[in-house]
Amino acid sequence: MLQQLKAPKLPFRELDLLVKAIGECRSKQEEDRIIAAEVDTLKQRLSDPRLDKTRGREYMVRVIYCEMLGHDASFAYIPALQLASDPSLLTKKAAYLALTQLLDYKHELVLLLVNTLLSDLKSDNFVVVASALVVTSKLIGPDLVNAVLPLVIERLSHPRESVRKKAVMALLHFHQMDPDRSGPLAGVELERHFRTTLCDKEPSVMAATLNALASLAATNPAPFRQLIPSLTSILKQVVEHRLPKAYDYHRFPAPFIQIKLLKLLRLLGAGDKAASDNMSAVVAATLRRAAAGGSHTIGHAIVYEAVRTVTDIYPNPQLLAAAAEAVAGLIKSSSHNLKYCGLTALAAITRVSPKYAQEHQVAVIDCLEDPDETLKLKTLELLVTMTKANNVTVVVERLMAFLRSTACGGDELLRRHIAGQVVSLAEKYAPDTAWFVRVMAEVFEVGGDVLQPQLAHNLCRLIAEQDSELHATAVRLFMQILDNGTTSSGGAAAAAAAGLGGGAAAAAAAAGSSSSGLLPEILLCCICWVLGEYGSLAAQLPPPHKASIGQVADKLCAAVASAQPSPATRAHLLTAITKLAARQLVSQGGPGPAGVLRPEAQDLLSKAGSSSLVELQQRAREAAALLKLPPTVLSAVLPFDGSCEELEPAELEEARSLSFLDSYVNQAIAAGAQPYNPPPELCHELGILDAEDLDSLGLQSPGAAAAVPALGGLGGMGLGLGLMPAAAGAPAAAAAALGQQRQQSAAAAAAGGGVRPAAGTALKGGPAKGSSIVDPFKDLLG
Amino acid sequence: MTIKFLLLVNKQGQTRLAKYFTELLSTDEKRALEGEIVRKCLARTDKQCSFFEHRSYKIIYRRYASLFFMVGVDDDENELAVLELIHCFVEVLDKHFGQVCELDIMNDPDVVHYIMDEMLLNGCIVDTNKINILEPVQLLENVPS
Repeated sequence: MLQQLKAPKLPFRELDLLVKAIGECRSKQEEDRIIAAEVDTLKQRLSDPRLDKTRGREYMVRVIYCEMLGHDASFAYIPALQLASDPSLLTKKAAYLALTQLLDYKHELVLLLVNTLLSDLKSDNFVVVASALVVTSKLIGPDLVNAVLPLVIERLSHPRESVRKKAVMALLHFHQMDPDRSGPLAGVELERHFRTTLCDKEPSVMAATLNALASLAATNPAPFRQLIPSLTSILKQVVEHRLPKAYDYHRFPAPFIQIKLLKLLRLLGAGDKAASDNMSAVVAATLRRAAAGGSHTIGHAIVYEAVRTVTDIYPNPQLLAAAAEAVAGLIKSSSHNLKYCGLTALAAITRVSPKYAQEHQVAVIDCLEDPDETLKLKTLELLVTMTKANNVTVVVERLMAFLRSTACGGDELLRRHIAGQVVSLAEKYAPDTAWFVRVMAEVFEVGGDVLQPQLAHNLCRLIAEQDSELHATAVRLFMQILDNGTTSSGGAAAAAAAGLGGGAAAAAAAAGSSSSGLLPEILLCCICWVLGEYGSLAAQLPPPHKASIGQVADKLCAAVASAQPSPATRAHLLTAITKLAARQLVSQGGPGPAGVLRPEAQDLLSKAGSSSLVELQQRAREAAALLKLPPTVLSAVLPFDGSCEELEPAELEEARSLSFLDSYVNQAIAAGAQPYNPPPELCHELGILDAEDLDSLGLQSPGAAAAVPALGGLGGMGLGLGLMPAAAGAPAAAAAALGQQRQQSAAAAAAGGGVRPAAGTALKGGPAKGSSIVDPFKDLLG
Repeated sequence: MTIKFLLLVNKQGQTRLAKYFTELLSTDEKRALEGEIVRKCLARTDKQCSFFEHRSYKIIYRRYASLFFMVGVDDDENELAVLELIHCFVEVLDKHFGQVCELDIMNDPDVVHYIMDEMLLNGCIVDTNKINILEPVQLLENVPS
C-alpha cells in the first residue's frame, strides 16, 4: 500500500480521551455513563459565547459520537448551524456532517441553513461547493427546493467533476421530492439536464446521471427509450476498456457502471421488442466478457445482472441460452453467495422459459440439502416455480419437511407462505385424491394455525364426493393420525419416540409447529366430520386399523378432549358421535346390550346438554332426542353418506316452509295449544310484516344471515333474536302456530322431513335453491 | 441502487459508524435496528451466505477483522455488487489510512464519512474511482486549521 504523507494531527486531546474511553469500556452501562458525561460537557461548552471556534471540528465530531451511541443531541442543533458558516473548511464540513446526521429534510431548523448553503454553493473553493451539494441532497425538502434549484443547475457545468456529479445527485433528490412535478418542480424539465450530463466527458458524471435516469425511467420508461442507442454505445465502450484505467476494479472495466447500464437497459427493454432488439448484441457481449473475465465476485455480479436483464426484456432465445449457461456455472459453484444468486437467476429464467429448469433439477435439489437456511428457502421458492404434475409429490414432500423443521419454527409469515404454497400446489397438480387427502391432512397438522378454516370445509366436501374406497382410505388415515398424534410418515417412529421421550414433546418435535403435540382445530374438525360420517367403515379395515364404531367414537372423544377445543370443534364432535351412534343403532336394529353410547360419549353428551353454550346444548338435546327414534326413522334422518344428495327444488321449498307440519300444528292448536308468536324481526323476514311496521316498533330487520340461523338452528351463536334455544330449530313458517310442547318433537320431525342434516341442521334456507351439498361448516367457520 | 444504510459495528455490538440514506428513523430506532442486525450477523457461520433478510430490508455483510460492514438494501438489489461495493470501500479506506484498522475509524469518523459521501449519495453508487474519491479528502489533510 502506498504510504500517505499526512499533515501532522492537531492535538485533539479531549476527543482522543473520549475515543480511548469508548474503546476500552466493557459494558453498555459504562458507555452510557461516559457519553452522558460527554453530553453535559458539550452542552456547557457549546452554549458558552466564548466558545473556542478553532476546536469547532472536534466538538462536532464529539456530538456525532454522542448521537451514534444512542444519546439525544438536539442541544447541538443551533451550535452546529452556527459553525456551518465558519470560514474554516474543516469546521464547516464537520458542522455540515453533524447536521446531516442529526436532522432530516422535514426539520424546521433547516430553513436557517439555507443562506449558508447558498453562499457556499457560490464559493470559489470546489470542496466547499461539493460539501454544500452533499448537504443539499439530504436536507433540502420540497419547500426549500426553489431557493437552491437555480444554483444547483448552474453547478452542473462546474469545471470539477467532483462538483458536477454531486449536482446531478442533488437534482435527483429534488425529483424525488416532487416526482409528479406538481409542487416546486412544476414545469421544470430535469430530463433535459440529464441528457446533457449523460454525455459528460467524465465517466463519473455520466455514472451519476445513470442513477437519475433509472429513477425517472422506473415510473415511465417510454420517453427514455430513445436513449438506448447512446446507452448501448457507452456500454460497448466500457466493456472494450476504453475508459481511463482508474475506473478499473480488479481488472474489470468500470464494473459498477456496467451494472448500472444493464439495470437501465432492463427497465427500458421490458415489454418492448424493438427496444430489446436494439440492446441484445451489447448485452450478449457484456455477458460473454464478464463470464470470461476470470473468477472474481465482481465478474459474477456483472453476469448476474446481465442474466436478470435478459430475463426481463423481450425474450430472445440466444440470449436466454447464454444466460442459462452462465447460471449453471453459478449454481454449481461452491460459494453460497453464488449459489444464492444462481437460484434467483434460475427462477427468473424459468418464468420465461421453463425448459432450462429441468436440466438443472439435480443441482437445485442439492441446494436443498444445504445447511444454510437462506439458501434452502431460495431453493424451495425455485422449486415451486418448477413444479409440474410429474414432480409435485417430490416438491411437496420437501416443502413439508421444511415446514416441519425448526428453521421454520417461529416465523409465522414464512410458515403461512410455505403452507399456502403446499396447498396451492396440491390443488393444482395432485396425482390422485388419496394423495391429496393425505397431504392436506399433513399440512393441516403442521400449519393448521396459519391456514384458512375454509380449507377444512373444502377437504370434507371433496371427500364426500368420492367413492367408498376413498372414504375407507380417509377413515384409515384419520384413525392413524389419532393413534399417532401426528401425520408424519415416520408415524410409527414418532409414536415410538413419543414413548421414549415423553409423549407430548416428541410428538411436538415430529409435528413441528403444532403446540405441544395437540392437533390443530382445522384438522380436528376434518377428522370429526369424516369419522362421524364414515367411521362405521372402520370395521371393514384390516388390522391394526380395524375398529368398531364404539372404538372410533372413543378415539374421537379422547383426541378432542386432550386438545382443548373451541366450542365449534366440540359441536362437531357431538354431531360426529351422534352420527356414529345412529349408524350403530341402524345396523344393529336397535340398542345393543351395551346401550346406545359408550360411557365417554354419553358423558360428553350429558355435559353438553347443560352447557352454557347454546349451540352445544342444542346439539346435545337433538342428539338425545334423535337417538331415541326407531332405527328406520333414524336411517332416514341421518342417512349414511347422504351429504351429497341432491334435493329437488320442491323438496327444498317444502323443507324451507315446513308445510308438511301444517296438519300436525293445526291439530295441536285445535286441542288448545298456544300459537307460536315469533318476534317482529322474524315476521318481517318472512314477509308477514312490512318494513314500516318494523320501524313503528322501533326495530330493524336483521339480515338474511341472521334469520337463517333462526331457521336453521345451527348458524353459529347467532341467536340474538331472542328465540328460545330449542325453538331455534322451530320452523319459522309454522311459527304462527307452534307452541311450547311441540318444540322437541317438532325439531325431530322437521329433521325427518326430507332434509339431510349432515350436521344436525334442521333447515338451511340460505344457499341457492337446488344446491346439492348441505354445508356442515359454512356458518361455523365461514 | 437503493441502499438504505451502511453500518460499521464491531463484534461487541458497538457502532463505530452509521450512515442512513433516505430512511427517516429516530435515534432510538436506529440504534435498536443496529443491535438486531449485528446479532444476526454474529450468529451466522462461514457456511452461510453473506445475505439475509431482516424486517423489510435485505442485509449484505462482510467481516473484516473485528468489524462488520453491513449494508441494508430494499427491492431486488444485486447482492454480489453490494458485496463488492463494501470491499471497494474498504480498499479506499486502506489507501487513505494505510492498513486501516478500527482505531483509525474511531479517531477520524468524519473523514470516513467524507469518503463515503464521494462514493454514495442518497443510497446510489456515485463513484468507485479511487483517485476521484480521495482527491478532495486528501486536500483536507493539508488545510491549516
